[in-house]
Amino acid sequence: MKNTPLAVLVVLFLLPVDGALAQLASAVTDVTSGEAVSRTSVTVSVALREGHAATAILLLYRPFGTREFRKAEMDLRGSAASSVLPADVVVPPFVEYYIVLSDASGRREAYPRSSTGDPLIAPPPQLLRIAVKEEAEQQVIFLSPDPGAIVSPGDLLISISLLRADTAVARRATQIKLDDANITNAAVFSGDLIILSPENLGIQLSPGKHTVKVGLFNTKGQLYTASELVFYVRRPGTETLLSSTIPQRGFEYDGNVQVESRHENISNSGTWYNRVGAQFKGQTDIWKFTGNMFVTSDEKSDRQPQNRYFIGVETPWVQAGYGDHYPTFPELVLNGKRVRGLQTTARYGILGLDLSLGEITRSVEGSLIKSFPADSFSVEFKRDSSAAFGQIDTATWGKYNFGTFARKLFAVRPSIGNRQTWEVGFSWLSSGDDMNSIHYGIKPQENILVGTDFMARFDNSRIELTGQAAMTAYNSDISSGNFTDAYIDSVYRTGPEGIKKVRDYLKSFITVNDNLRPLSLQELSTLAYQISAGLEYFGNAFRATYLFRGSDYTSFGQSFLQTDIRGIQLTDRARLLDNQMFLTFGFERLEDNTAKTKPATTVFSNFNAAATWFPRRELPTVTVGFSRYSNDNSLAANGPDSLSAIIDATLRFYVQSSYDFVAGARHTATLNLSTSKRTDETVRKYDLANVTGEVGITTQYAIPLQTILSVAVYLNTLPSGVNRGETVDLNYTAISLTGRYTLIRDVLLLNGSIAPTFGNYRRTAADLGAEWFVRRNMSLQFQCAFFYNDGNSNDSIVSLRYRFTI
Amino acid sequence: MKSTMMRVLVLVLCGVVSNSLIAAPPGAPIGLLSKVILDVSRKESGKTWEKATRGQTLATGDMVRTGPASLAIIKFKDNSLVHLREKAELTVTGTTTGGSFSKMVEIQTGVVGFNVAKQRAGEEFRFTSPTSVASIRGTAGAFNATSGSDTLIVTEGAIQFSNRFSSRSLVVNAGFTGLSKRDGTLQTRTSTEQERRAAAEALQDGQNKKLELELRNPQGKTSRLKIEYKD
Repeated sequence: MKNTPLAVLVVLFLLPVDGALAQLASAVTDVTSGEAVSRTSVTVSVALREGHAATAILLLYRPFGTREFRKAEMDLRGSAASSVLPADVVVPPFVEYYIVLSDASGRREAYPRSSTGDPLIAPPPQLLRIAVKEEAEQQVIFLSPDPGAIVSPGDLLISISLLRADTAVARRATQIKLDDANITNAAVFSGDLIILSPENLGIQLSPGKHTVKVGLFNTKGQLYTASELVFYVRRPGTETLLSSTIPQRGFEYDGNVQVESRHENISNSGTWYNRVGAQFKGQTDIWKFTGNMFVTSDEKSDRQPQNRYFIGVETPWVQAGYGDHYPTFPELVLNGKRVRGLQTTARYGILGLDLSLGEITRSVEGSLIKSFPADSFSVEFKRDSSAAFGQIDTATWGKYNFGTFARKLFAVRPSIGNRQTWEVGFSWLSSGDDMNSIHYGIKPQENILVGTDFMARFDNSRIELTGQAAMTAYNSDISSGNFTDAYIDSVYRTGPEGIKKVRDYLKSFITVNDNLRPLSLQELSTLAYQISAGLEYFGNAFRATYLFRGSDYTSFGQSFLQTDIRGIQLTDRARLLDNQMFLTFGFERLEDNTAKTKPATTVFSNFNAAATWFPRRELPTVTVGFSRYSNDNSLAANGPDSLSAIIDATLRFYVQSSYDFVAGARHTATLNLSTSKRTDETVRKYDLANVTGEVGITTQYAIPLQTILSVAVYLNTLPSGVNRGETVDLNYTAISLTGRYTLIRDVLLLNGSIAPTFGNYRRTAADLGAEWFVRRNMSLQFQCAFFYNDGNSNDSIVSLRYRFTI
Repeated sequence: MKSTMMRVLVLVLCGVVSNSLIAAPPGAPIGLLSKVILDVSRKESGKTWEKATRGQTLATGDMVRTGPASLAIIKFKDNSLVHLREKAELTVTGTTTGGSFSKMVEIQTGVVGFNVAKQRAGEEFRFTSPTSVASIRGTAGAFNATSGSDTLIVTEGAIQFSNRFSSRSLVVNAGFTGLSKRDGTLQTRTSTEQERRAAAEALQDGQNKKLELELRNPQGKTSRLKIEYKD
């Protein structure tokens, strides 16, 4: 939790009162991230209350200096969801993000809460942030051997200190591997120290290179951080370093199983939830095996899959697996999308191949809304002509909700390059709805894509050029099938033969009819490309990007990419004062109307600047920043096109500070102040204002007790939604006190929290929990929570989780 | 119900009190002997001297000494390192407050090399001798304690150096040597080449020695050849 921004800690307890339990966003009980280090991917995890109605969760994130949020589908497993932020967006000083939850009806809500319309278009005023460090704080300290040391077999002593390990780490769950062989059971745990002498254990290490890997896990059994050390063993009696030799070993494996049962009493309705999760990894010689499985009582045939599974095998050249996976292709092609099916990656020298084949949407049959006599059909149809109707028997008809077609996807990317200094790839993606998968559906669709990408690095990677381009074809309704010759002759008076030729050529890839885009190859409305140049010289990291995405660009592998946009993005990060000061600037100018089909072109301008000071002395770390986002389509606010005018600007200032100090105990104090104001000069007068102040202190006492106290004040002015220009205030204060106490070191941990919220949101949340490590590899966790909802019924949650590691 | 609550409360309070003791138990390891060559002894607090072995943990109050031509390396759990050269004797102490780990090495006699890991807020690494106190933060060097005077050679960073008899104090920067005597005098001067070499040697592990040669080819280009060898 140390790395969790204070804002997150505070927001965890901001669950509203009135009608809250019916809302999606209130299901979020916890948002955490791993330690974020520059240019290293980081996992964001979301915990949800049981019984939530969310069927899909999107993570929307953006690196410093850019306006657009990238979107990724989170891996939703019961009451937990996670997604990995790619390394290229993890840049100091922070990454901003929020979460959008969708239910089966397609309703969307943002977390943190927002009332600014569609959350995919309008982000909430208070975004979550992950502070990004320049360098990782070493949580695992290797005392011996030294990194890269050459040691004699008899002198080898592996010793590790967990002095700096985070309080979220379950030390007894620490895993140690020597050359990928799990040797944890042979290690001696003594306080913060872990000691292992291979010679004393009868382990004979061959001369050459060897690796020690240490994995730290949090109390939920998730990998928290991992460290690695390389050393060399010299042949006894010689001073010559021999080549690397991996010792012979049999089948090595590790895995874990988690079983959870939970009872919730929400709105006076009690429900049990049960789930089992398991993960497995094994290795013998060059073969590696992985598998995971998640089974939940939430799995229902009328919603998208909630169970998850994957099984895979890997060699140094080929990795293949079957099940739920999240393939990573170029951003324009396929990214952040769950695919259930085959996944393969092959590498041989400079040749590479990535392949994904499977289902991205499961078929869900339309449901019967009502049945009626056959002779009432015309009446019912006139009443709701957009509904689906079907015959139940000779005398009865039914009205149905439209179902969801099963959607298949195939993506392949052959590539060539050493992947260190150069690489060129080519992508193909085809995807479509299976019309036979359900009876009651509407507008089945198809999509194909061809693309290419490249990367080149020069001068010791200080110059980096990257680019990608893709062209798509998209059919929004294939139910009528391909054009017939008669249809073409009757509708297309000019050049019907050419159209027939194109149809005959394309129909093996995609259905050709009136609903196919692009309509013309002259405007290139389904083209997208972007090119970037990065330079790292004189303490500066500069990056320039030009991007273009046509208005009809569509990839089923990347559903949430913003289209109809083009422009430049510039960012620069400068290190000053012997790496104690970091200045970051971002400028972005994008515009829409790429096909010149709109009455006006909107220009999106964005300027960001931030200065971060990391003093070497015992002084606070401070970040001061400023952002300005403006949108303008040049239409006069009071002219004849005033209803189409877009003229607004958002100004943000923020100060963040943290300070480590010792006063009786060890403390980390944090301060966040931010203010933002959106001014809408159009007749809509959609003005917003927000002031947020947060202070917090985390204290580690001499006794094994950690407390976190935080106070946050939120002052919001929002449009009333009744009369234009009229605003309402939404002000509240949240206080949170959390404690974690180790009753018996490495055996029994207690935790508890109380979090009252005052003002327009009124509620108090309290929870208590205990985790008992029965053995180093087995634990039981009990948790209960109580929610006092002012004016509504109270809620409670009780859960028991069992975890076993092999 | 009330009595049950009372029992739970008593149990929790007992846990709190017992953990106050667990937080800094007398035998909790603060470091270990990562290397032991020839005659090295260790003495646990309240016990007698015994032969030391590689990998043995050290707790507060433990003593370590080396015999002639012997060497020991102590690694504290924050990765701070102390080399005991031959005929040295010291006592180690460590306290953990919250996440802060402060260490003290009381040198009875002999030469020790040190390389101290970056210290966090509230942390300290301190060398003491009957004559002097050196407060160290993220530095390297050597400390030589004798019955008459102490010599502190600093090769990296800066060290607060104090004389216990006169209570005088000064900062010894990298490349300088501090001298502290029993008559209370305390001074600093530029390290001699011999002292710099001695400090570097004090940090070597005693097994491997390095020979560095500068080679020049017929075109005049130079390159360096490093050879690591053992006596």
